[in-house]
Amino acid sequence: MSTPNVAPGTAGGTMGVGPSSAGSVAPPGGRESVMDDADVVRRMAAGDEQALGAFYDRWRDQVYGLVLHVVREAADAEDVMEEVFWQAWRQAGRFDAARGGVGTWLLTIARSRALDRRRALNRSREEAEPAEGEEGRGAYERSMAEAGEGMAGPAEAAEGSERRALVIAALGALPAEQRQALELAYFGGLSQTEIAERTGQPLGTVKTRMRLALAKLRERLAVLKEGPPQ
Amino acid sequence: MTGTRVMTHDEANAELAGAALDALPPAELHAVLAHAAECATCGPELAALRESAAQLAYSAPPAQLHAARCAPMRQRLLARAAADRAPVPAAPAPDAASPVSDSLSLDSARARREARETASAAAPLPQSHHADRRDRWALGWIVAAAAAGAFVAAQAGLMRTRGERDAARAEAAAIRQDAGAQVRAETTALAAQVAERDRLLAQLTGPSVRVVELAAAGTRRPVARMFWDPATNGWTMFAHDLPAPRPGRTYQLWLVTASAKISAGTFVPGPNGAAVVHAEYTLAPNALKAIAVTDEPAGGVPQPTGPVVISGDAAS
Repeated sequence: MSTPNVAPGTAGGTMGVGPSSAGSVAPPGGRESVMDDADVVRRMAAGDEQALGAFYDRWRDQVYGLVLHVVREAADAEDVMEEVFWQAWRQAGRFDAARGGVGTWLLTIARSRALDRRRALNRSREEAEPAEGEEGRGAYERSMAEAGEGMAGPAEAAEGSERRALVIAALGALPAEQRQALELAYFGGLSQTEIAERTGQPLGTVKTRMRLALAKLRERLAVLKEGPPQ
Repeated sequence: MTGTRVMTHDEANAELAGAALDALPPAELHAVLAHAAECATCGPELAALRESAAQLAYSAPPAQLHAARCAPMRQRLLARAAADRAPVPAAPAPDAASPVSDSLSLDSARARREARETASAAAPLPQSHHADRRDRWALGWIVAAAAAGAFVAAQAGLMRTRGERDAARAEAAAIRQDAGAQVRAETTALAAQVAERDRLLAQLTGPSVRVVELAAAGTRRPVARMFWDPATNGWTMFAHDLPAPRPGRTYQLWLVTASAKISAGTFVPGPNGAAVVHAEYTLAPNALKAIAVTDEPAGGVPQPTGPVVISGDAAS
């Protein structure tokens, strides 16, 4: 029994054939740690499953934190997390660095899959709306509370996660109602109309809050450069 | 897609934040995306806002998967990946028949999710994945067919495939009786093989599957058979007796319509001249005129430049 040497279709304009049967393209020992995320994703796209392992090691905590925050159930979050990394493997060839960083790409997948699961759970429980007070307690508030319980707050997190600290600081600088609009949309998957109904505010007000909040966030986070969540 | 609302620049621009957060109704989101795709101002603005919105993920409270769960998940993923090395390649097909925009519908929640990912993080390109090591079983089938002296009847091949599938299932069931992470990983890999075989069986036996025979003149006569299932947009070609391409060259598969020659990927046959190529591409049922394989520079080309090695008329 033989195996065809199916070559990657890398030329522009081709519907590529992958992956290569040339075997693992993992770098020599010790170099894995210095590969940037885009390199790792490229290796995944080339069919190197060891790159998937490195990718998982780098991003698992960030993905799990996001997924758990959206899904809220540890068992479901675990399932979703595996789906996320599997989807990343399958779609690694689609990643386009010109369109954004690896983190944006991966966490967009994670958010989508987590919201899917959350909606499915809500449907199965006939809970179209989360419990009062649960949704309103956004990531910022939860992070602040956990900081008070000894987990990394903005100051401490700056050492280990400058990105996280900056995002939390940027959120903290927003008026509460703007921050709430962002978090209900991003983590809750609510539409502007649903947010208006939830908060009792006119739809136009919600749109304005969301627009202003995202503009401020963009301005404050312009200094961030994409990198692994270490 | 019908009934697409057209937004003015000002209307779309005012909704960019909502679009970046996927907080618009599907019809509105679709209209904003359609405008942004054409607008030199709104397109980059939407991309930047999406990038900013994505940063919200980092504000989620830190959490770590329990160590007892973490390592097995990693093993499962690697086992699945080893058994299914088929990530979607990045190379775009530049022809106007690019299928993704045609298949992108915002009328359902699933399509909305796909739109999010496509617009924010993925190139809107044709999806294609192809045969790899996991298809060894299929190649075994091909080799057997070649040894028999000709293409065997599809039914005979399918019976063999079913037999292999059943054997793999039995093997998977036996392995599940053992404990340990390594065994679970192997089970996962076998399950992936079974799933792949089921997928291929469905690909070959679907009620709408069409078959195109490819042949060539010459002393050594390569032959191939393409199975196209319009219901799943799946294309699977089995070929054998293909001569090895010269150094620096490769074979490239083309779907030929009245107006375009659409690349379905490059491939190199094994030492025995056998190859299996799988692709996914949306094509109208009556659009296919022919299938062709050409000899091209390694890596492939946007349009065919080399000699036709083998071809088949879809109408025959």
